[in-house]
Amino acid sequence: MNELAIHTDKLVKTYSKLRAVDELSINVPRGGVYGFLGRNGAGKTSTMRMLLGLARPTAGSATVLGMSIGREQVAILERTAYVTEGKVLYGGMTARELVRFTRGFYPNWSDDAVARYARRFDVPMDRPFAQLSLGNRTKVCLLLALAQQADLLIFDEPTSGLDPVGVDEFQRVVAEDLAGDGRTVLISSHQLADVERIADWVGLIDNGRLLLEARLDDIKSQYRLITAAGTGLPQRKGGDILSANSDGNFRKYLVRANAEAFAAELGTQGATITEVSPLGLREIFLELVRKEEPCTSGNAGEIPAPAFSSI
Amino acid sequence: MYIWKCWRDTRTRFLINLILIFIMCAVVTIIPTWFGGAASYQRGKAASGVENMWASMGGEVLGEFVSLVLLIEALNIGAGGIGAEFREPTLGFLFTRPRRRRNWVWTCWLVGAWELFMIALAAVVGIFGGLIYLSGHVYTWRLLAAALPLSVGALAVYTATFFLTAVARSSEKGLSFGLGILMIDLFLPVAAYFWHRDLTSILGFTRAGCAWAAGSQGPFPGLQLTIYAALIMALGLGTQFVVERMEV
Repeated sequence: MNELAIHTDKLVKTYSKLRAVDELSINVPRGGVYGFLGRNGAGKTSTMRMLLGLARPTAGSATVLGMSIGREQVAILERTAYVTEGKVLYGGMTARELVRFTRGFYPNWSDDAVARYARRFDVPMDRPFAQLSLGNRTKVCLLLALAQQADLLIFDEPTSGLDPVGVDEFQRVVAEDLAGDGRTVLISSHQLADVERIADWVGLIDNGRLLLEARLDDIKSQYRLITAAGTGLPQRKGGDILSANSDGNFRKYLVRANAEAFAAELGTQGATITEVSPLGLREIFLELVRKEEPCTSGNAGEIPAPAFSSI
Repeated sequence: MYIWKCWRDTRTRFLINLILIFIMCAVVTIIPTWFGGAASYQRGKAASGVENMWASMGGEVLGEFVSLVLLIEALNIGAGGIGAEFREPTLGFLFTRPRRRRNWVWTCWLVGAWELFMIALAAVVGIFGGLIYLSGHVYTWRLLAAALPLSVGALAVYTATFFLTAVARSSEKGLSFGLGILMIDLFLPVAAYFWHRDLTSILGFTRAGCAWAAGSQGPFPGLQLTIYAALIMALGLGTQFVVERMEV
């Protein structure tokens, strides 16, 4: 059995001139929670749409639960639950009617799960979907997805509109009921703190390209932000250096391993190391996707020093 | 499941239309007797009088009035079926249910087609009942067969609108395009007349079919029926083609 729930290989999606997904290769292991992160328009939703057959890849390939997208789409959908970003369902139907509509499509559908999660999330079952608040719409979408008893659950902004109690309940469900049951969850969210609480793996994309894919535990134990001062410091990324950004007179390096060795190497090049600090997901996210602002004070017009060839 | 959803969305409008058209057709058939228009039929009770009554009331009311009402209904239902999915917009939800997209297309089409057929049948039965009431007996059972050309004509407009709604991804645009096609179809025979060509519109086809069913002279428009049936299939398959390749 394939150990990956999702595997994409140089997946590309272009809309007219826009390259929404650009040779994206991600690997989502089975039986874990994968946080799929990125800024608005980074390509997360486009990727998920391709995985679910809502959009066709321009190039590249992907498998979901070992099945090829496009060719085995119905089989994929039978075992995959999806909560869309927009949280749009039939406006005239109540949650009870939506359950009735949806249950027949799924062989593993559980009415017990409907009753359980309706209670846990406090879902209004008898009001038309169109009359619900965004939070309650999200709850109905989650209810339908959870009752499918799917092997893979893909959530696009699953906590939008939820109050803190709802968010907490959702996280418990993901961590205890889904991950605990060996099912795979792919979550796309901007709520980095929420993802950090429940994810085992994270993939970070920007401009359709993968910037980082790692186990969250590895990030916490090995990833470091090195702040150095000095002239002629290397600017180039590569190897273990994931980013190199300027911050005033300092240069900040995001390093995924061997931080002490790299700091020592910088020291031999005349740099003063001011800080080597561990990072949370938020800091990593900001470091990786941050665009360097044009300099507007002190160093304006300064020509950047050339990068070291060894790095 | 989806058939239930389609039925649920349209049942109120359908049932109202069904009852309305039945009552309207029955009443339209009987009304002339209130003003003496059908007095001659009742007075004489001669075979020719009854024959005329069935031919004119059956053929004309069905061929003109009901045909037009059905074509308008066909536009409405054609734009409403799959168009509702674009309007909400719920295609993302629907297409992530584990079924082939052709299932959605044909289920949606089938519900609309069934409703149109039932409305056509209600109209024919309404007139049939009215005529039995007037003449006291059944002159020709063949009148019931008028439901066939009426349905096929309406289905052609319905399926064209259904297809155009899928292509335009909008029920409003689909309705507009469908209306445009219907207008062209109605005026093309007039234009062709000036070039000494013989073209028949959908309305002309249903008129001929109803006239045949009502027992008047004239052949059954079998060739046109076959052409329209083929067109319906082609447009249905065209919709399937469009929807299967649609990105949401």
